[in-house]
Amino acid sequence: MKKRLMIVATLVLCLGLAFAATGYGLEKLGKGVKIYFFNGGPPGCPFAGVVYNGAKQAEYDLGADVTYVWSDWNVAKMIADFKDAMAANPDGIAIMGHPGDDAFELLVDQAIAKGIIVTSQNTTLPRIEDKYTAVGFGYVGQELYASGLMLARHTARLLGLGDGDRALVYGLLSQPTRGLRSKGCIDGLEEAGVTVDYIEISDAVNTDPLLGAPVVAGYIAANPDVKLIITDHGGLTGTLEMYFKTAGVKPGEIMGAGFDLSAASVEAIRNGYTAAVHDQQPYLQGYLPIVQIVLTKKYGFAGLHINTGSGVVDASNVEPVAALAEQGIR
Amino acid sequence: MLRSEEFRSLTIKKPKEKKTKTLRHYLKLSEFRLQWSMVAVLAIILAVFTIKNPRVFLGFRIYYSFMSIIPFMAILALALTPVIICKEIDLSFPSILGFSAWMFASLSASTGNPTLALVISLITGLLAGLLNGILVVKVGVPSLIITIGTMFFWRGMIMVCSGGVGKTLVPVKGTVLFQSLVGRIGGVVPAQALWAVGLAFLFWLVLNRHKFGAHIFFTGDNIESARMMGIPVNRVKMLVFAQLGFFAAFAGILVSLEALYHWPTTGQGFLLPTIASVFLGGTSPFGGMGTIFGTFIGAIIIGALEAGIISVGLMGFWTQVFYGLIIVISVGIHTILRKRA
Repeated sequence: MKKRLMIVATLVLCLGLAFAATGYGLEKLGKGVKIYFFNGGPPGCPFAGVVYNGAKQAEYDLGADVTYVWSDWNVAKMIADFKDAMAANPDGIAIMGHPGDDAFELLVDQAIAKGIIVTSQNTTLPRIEDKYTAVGFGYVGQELYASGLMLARHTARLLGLGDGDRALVYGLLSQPTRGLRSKGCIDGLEEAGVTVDYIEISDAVNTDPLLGAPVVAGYIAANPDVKLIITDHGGLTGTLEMYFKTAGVKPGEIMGAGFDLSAASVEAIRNGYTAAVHDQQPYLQGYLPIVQIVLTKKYGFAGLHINTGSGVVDASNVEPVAALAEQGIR
Repeated sequence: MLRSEEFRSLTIKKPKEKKTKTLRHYLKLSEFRLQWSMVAVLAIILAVFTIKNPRVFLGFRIYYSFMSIIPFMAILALALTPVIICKEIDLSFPSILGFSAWMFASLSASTGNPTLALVISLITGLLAGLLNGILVVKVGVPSLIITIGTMFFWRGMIMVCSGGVGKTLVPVKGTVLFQSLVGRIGGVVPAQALWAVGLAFLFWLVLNRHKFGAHIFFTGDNIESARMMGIPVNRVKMLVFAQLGFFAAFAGILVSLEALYHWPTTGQGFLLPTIASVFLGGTSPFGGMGTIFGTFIGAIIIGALEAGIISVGLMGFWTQVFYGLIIVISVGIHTILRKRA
């Protein structure tokens, strides 16, 4: 009996030593690295929530110390939040580029002069990126204009839209860089010969997409010949089915398209209200900027430019990603 | 000096007394003026929209859409009106709406019993509203300040509880509860529109035909006089906050059922349009004056404006310009008509 116990104890000791040896000399790369991370939207926003999930996972995987900033998709708040983050003197700040190069350049200059690593996600800051790539200023996200163009072309092809057809783009052209995606949608549809109307998303609808229902219904009532409605907003895209039902539109009569997968937009694709959704993989926009800052801090790596927006989900390929959308990963 | 019970019996229980009669007469006259000026403003707006695009405004589709969405804001505005008449404000109702709706979505999924979820959510809303009332009355914190705090608290609770992820309500579709709350009566009339009309009548009855309504007006008009008259002003205030919490929860459940999905941000966009509906409806920000009818029409105007502007062909960046302009013009016309009436 004693002999057996000795054998078991020796085996356990050997296994323990083997595991210890495997991790010997390694520690979590981000340990001690302080980062301010901008999620973009308000807490609970379907899109910002997925970005946050990615960043949170990276924080856990790398052992970094991350403070999360929620800016309600408000460009003025993003600038104010950046000043606050800079005052805290972290090792790195990962920003959303919505305010644009002009608004951010001076502030980023000051931050980098203080030795803070700055990188960006979701919305490009091309001038600043060119200037500071060598010191770790990277970009993780979609190419905004190209994403808009891709969705519009894909949907027009899918629905067979062309000369004489009418479409609505319900977007955010007023935001300096972010508006490029709406512009891409408009250009992509016009390229196919479609007549495009445009409505700017109001602040109330931007915060609570449900309030856009009478707007869409009013537009449809005034333009019954409309074939496609593109919403350049994750929350609105998830509410498309409800918009159509409220306007008394049956599945397939008028189709919707938009950006950012969610459980609701997956359901709308299944139910025949939404033709296509551009998936910019927001989880990666949370995960990779943390990796960027940690690698730059530890080893001085230059900024990486990563395009996450290369896919469109429609009825033909929705099922494999549906479960992940419900979990807040896709 | 009269004791409070004697004062109350003179002023409230005996309506033929001269002082009460004068006050009621004044209130009725103001109410009449407010109501007709609001109807005139709505009629003018609808007439302009109809002339500009008769196809839309003489058809049923746009009104079907209005009946689907405006009731949520109307119910909130109706419940907010007594709070403002009481010379108080509540900024937390959109967060209470969101939290109660999350509770409904979550409990419906976990228990499979949407009726039980409804009851618990409504009680949650009631208690959250009552908490506001207690903090205002017992602790003495101004309602503007304390409800900013509870607004963030309840919104934060939604995030903590939901983990920032939405919840589907598709399994509730087809239940008796769904049909009775947001179903389509006869296939054409959204049930929420009937709920809003029914609740408007209930609020009108309470405010105009019940002692509690008179207490609300007296409390908002002059709290010290009301106290001297024996009106339990603290209880009145707590009850008006509690009922707002209750109806915010009810509106939240309707909103989530209509969308068949609960977003963690649900309710956030309702704050300003709801407050605008109440003030546009003629309720005085200084308390003691307001009508349910005015609020109801105010909610219809605010809810229909953006859709109306778009359907007459003003798109792009012009929408917001005209939205603001029409509200300013409406308030102006309303004020002039009220003075002339």
